[in-house]
Amino acid sequence: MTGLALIVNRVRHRYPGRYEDTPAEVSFSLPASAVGVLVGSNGAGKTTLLMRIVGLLEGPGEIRVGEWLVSPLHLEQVRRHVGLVWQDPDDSLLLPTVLEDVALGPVNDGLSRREALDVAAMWLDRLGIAHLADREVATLSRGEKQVVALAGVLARGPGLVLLDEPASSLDPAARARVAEVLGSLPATRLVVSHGDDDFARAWAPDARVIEVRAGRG
Amino acid sequence: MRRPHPGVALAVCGCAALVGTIGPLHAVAALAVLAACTVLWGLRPARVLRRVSVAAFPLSGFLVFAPWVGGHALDLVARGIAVTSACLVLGAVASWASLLALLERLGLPGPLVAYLAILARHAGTVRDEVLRMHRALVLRGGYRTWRNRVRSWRILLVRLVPQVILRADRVADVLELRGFRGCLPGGSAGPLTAVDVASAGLGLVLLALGVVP
Repeated sequence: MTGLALIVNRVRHRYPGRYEDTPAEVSFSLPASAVGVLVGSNGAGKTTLLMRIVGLLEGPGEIRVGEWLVSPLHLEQVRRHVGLVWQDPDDSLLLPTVLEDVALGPVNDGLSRREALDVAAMWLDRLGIAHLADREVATLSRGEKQVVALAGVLARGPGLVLLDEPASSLDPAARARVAEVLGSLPATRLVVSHGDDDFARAWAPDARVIEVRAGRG
Repeated sequence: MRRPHPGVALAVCGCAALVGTIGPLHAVAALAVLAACTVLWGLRPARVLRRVSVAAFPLSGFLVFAPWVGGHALDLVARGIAVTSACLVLGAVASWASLLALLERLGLPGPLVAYLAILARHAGTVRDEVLRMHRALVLRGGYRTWRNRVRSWRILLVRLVPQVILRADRVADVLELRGFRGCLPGGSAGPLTAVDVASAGLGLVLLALGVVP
């Protein structure tokens, strides 16, 4: 899958009962296969923006992924081609064992079970966690879960990958492996990061930095 | 551990649970077969016994009715222990994933199997959340007096219910984002071994005991 361009135009979001927008109006565009880093303080609305991009939240502004406008009409296409890795890996992992969880996306995209399990095994291998294939998800550490969640998203071959602090619980070796894989992807990548975190800079030194802040619209 | 084929484990433990409900002697026979399987399947008997005794303790509460209903109380306890033991042994030798894959192959509807798989996964997550909250309460002075204990339980429940609802909400979102359309990639269980044949023989003997009057 090649990268998909992302255009975010005058997007802001206000949760019910709140007096400020999180995020306040933000506009940017990422060409196909580019890397963007979303920075901002806690509560600025970085995760909210990711949820807007996959259509889990609705609000003012316009978001376009490749040729599709993010709207109820195109949600199926958008969600087929956009992968979101949540900050809490327990939110992403759905099945009891690692290999099955990673194969869930491919098997639902139409691959046979054998092919889906092969694709899952390949991604586990690339991310250096092939030894976890038969482990029960509940017995993994948070860092291991984070890599498994990433493998589950990449196994579908998304054209746009959204990563919400993907390395927050990884040890240096795992960070290096994940960085290598993320750096070699053809997909467009948007990474949420705290300003002082150099994870994204390690594998994408030319990444575009996009600042997100909360504020009154 | 010489794990049996999940199909054989399900069949033997299912037989034990069914036959164990017939009567007290059948329950004893079921327990004997389960004990044999425990050894055959390489489980640690002491560990199984400990788990069974934990489950048997509340069941033995029925014995307080013995002065009024006589042997029926003992009968009930024996049957309860047989069924509980069958479930515990099955849980110890077959993973949720292998049992679910088996149920799917046996013709259980896909969405129901998927529901059970997701339930199994998230039961563990909810248990972890309860443990985290429990530890936080312990470290912050919870459970020290009876009054404090009631308050701690209340906090635990009040925090847990919205957490579970939020978790269910997030699972629904993630199912959509990960393209779930009712298919599960269940793995294969592998060929039968000599242990499986021996276990199946024990199951058949038990079934014969249950069928013959």
